[in-house]
Amino acid sequence: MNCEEIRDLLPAYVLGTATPHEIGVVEDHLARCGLHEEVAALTASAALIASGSKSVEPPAALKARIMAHTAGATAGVQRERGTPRRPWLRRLLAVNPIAAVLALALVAMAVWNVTLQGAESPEKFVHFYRGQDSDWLRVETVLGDPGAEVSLGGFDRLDDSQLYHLWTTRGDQVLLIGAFNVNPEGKWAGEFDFVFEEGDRIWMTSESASGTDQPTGEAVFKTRF
Amino acid sequence: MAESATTTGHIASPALAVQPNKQSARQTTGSTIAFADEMIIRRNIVARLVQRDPSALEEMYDRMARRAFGLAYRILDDGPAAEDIVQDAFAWVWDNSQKLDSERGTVDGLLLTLVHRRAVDALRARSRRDALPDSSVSSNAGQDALDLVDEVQRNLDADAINRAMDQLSPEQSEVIDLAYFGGMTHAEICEKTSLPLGTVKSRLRLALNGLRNSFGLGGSS
Ligand SMILES: [Zn+2]
Repeated sequence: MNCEEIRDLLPAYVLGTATPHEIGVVEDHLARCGLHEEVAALTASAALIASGSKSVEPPAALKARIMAHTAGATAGVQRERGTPRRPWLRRLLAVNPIAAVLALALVAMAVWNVTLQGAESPEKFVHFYRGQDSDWLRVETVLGDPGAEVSLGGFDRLDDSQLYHLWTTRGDQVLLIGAFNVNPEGKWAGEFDFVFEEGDRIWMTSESASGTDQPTGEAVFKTRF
Repeated sequence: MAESATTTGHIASPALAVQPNKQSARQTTGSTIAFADEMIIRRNIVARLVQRDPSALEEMYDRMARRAFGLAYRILDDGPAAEDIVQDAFAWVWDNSQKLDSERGTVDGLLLTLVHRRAVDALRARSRRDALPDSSVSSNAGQDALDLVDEVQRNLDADAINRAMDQLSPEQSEVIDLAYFGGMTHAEICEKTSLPLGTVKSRLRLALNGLRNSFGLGGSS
């Protein structure tokens, strides 16, 4: 696609309503074209639309719930600094059980709200998962055929002694998809010669860099086809 | 210790620059000085958030909660759901506060972006539409964009931003509403409006470029 055709896709891209396919097309193009300034200006314009929406007074209890979160989290930071993901949930659970239930519902929604949509051909699936924080995973594959393009981001880079291992649970089997580390920006992209099937549940753990064929660590996230 | 001293120094300097002629200046160019004060308040908040001072989040809440809730409510039309979204966004800011740039004037733009993203996710989940990827996650332009948002907010108040929105034609407003507040893809807007894809794309493009010009963010394309 040329720059003009890409400019047609930029509004949806910056408004956050581009499809995975459109995002792929735009980002492929941006990687080799100097449209960044334009994208930044349009992203800012889109973000400023929020400033145009009317203010509405929230219920007073909301402030108390949010401040309760800071009380729990302040204590938690000292105790749990450096531990991997979502300790805030445990902290929240200790501070405010109702808020924790709400938070759990949100997490559950993020984990199990599955995208399964045809892209170029009806058999080709693009699966997109986004977690509670900035973590995300994208899998593009033809179910039943070998080969899957995987990209992900928002994860902490592991030290050299460890690798992320990507697994799928199929029935009562756990299968290893592959292992890798993310770059300093927290991202990784690559292709696995793996055959996905419908109903596969994908999850990731950090394991020793020497490799394992059985997961031992706690799941960083879970999602499924 | 050294780090916090540096940060404090950084906060204090613009305040000192403004204070000497504050009184006299306020009478003549009230809005400029009021705005300078506002920036100092914001800067303080970010630096204090980085230092994990809960009162900074409380101040941010007092200033931003109505706008954040208004945005989530407009998207979801559901009070309890909007509350959850706003809570989640503030919790995210707090949990990630050590990663915030204390040099940054404000994280208001970031907060509203979080609220928008999460509200659209919730709306799409509720209407059983597929989740959409977050393009800003992988975009290098994201950080530059937040800087531009700060810059525009320094130059334009909320009314001026609203006036820019009012300048859009009804056709352009409609597609922006459906995309931004309705979280709709091109295909979904086509279905909703019975417009051809090319028309939807060109209206969105005209609308967004119109806003870009009104916000003083440069050329038309
Ligand atoms: Zn180009």
